[in-house]
Amino acid sequence: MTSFLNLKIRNKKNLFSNYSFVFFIILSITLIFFDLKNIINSSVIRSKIVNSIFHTQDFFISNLPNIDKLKLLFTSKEELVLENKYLREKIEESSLYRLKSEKLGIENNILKQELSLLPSALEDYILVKVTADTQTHYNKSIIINAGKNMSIRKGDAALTYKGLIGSVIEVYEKYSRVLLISDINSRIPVRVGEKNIKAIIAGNNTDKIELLYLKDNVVFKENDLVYTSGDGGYFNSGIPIGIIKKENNAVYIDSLNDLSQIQYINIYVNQFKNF
Amino acid sequence: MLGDIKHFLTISFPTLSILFLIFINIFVSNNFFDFGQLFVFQAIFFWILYTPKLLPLYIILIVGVLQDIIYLSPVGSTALIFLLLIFLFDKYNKLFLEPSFVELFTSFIILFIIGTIIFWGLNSFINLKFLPININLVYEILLNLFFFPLNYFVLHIFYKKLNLEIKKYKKNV
Repeated sequence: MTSFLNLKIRNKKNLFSNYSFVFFIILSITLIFFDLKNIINSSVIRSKIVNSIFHTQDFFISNLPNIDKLKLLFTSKEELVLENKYLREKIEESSLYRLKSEKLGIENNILKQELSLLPSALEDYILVKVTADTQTHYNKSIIINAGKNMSIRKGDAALTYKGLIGSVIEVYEKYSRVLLISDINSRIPVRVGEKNIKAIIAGNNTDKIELLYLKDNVVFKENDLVYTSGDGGYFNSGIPIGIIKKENNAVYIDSLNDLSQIQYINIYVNQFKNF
Repeated sequence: MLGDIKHFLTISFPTLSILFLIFINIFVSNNFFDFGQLFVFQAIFFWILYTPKLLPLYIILIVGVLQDIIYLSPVGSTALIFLLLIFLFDKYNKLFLEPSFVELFTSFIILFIIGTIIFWGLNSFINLKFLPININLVYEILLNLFFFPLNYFVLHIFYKKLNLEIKKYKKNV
């Protein structure tokens, strides 16, 4: 403890030579420049490294001792018999529900045919889990557990049942990165309220999303709904994003989702296939 | 053979501990605390202080680039901040003969705040816009300062247990 509090630094010379400092600092600045100007294809390197990191995580998780299995060793025979009985009942119950839903599905299709309705548009959502929340003060992105293996593509919309949270910007083998609508680099064409006013929303790394490129004298009502316009081919139209809020004569958008607490999201993988 | 592997793992311990902290920061702590990207500077500071020979500058560069890849920052930005802070620390460290823990903690506080300001400035410059400074940034700094003594204490235990001081001098011979 004494040595912990009273350190003796023996070497009072420079830790590193000034030349190596200058070299590595110049190298870092060069890397920043190359990355910003897209001179190097950093997405390939990112893909390889992110895959390796998450494979390592999977490896450690899969090798952790399974506490549930250990618990089973201490479960008595009576408890197992009771559990078995309960599970059998549950299986019967669920197969009953499945049969009922199948019957309703068939009935629904027959009725649709009778009404000569057009076949419903195919909407393909993939439910994914947020593997890593990589949001910092300067970047707002998350990593999800589906990538090329689940046919996810760059530009796919990421949403919850409440509304849009962002879009896929990088796709790796088994993972993807979603840029949130609050990120400073996020720009989404939208329409606002009942009057369908056109605008662009831009993140600024805070919870208050900005509205850009508005015509003069445009007035918004508080709690007006903001939803995607579909302009520019980025997202399907009509996906809710947030509501208009006013504070000190400034207008901002409050997201319908709490972007710091996202756990499960849907990826809309079938955009524009119906057009 | 086994001895060589053990020796390699021991002298790689500073690098491994930094990588471990990066993992902790992404997969565990982010669900509870937001330490930010400069969290691993706590470990870098410790190892640069005790065993600078076991943490060469290219490892700092690699660690920084790895962080940038994970957090989607411009590649090289975190490494640049780390290198600048180590440069400052290198110059400042020579002023003290035998700094106590309190003095080191104070220098860590100063360096961490400088690092946060430079990081904010660099990101604002890259985005060509002044990024907002809100209360979360202050929490991030306070959280790192609060956890520094704990990290320092744990790393110090490993430093003593693994006899890294001896390893360092053996390596120099």
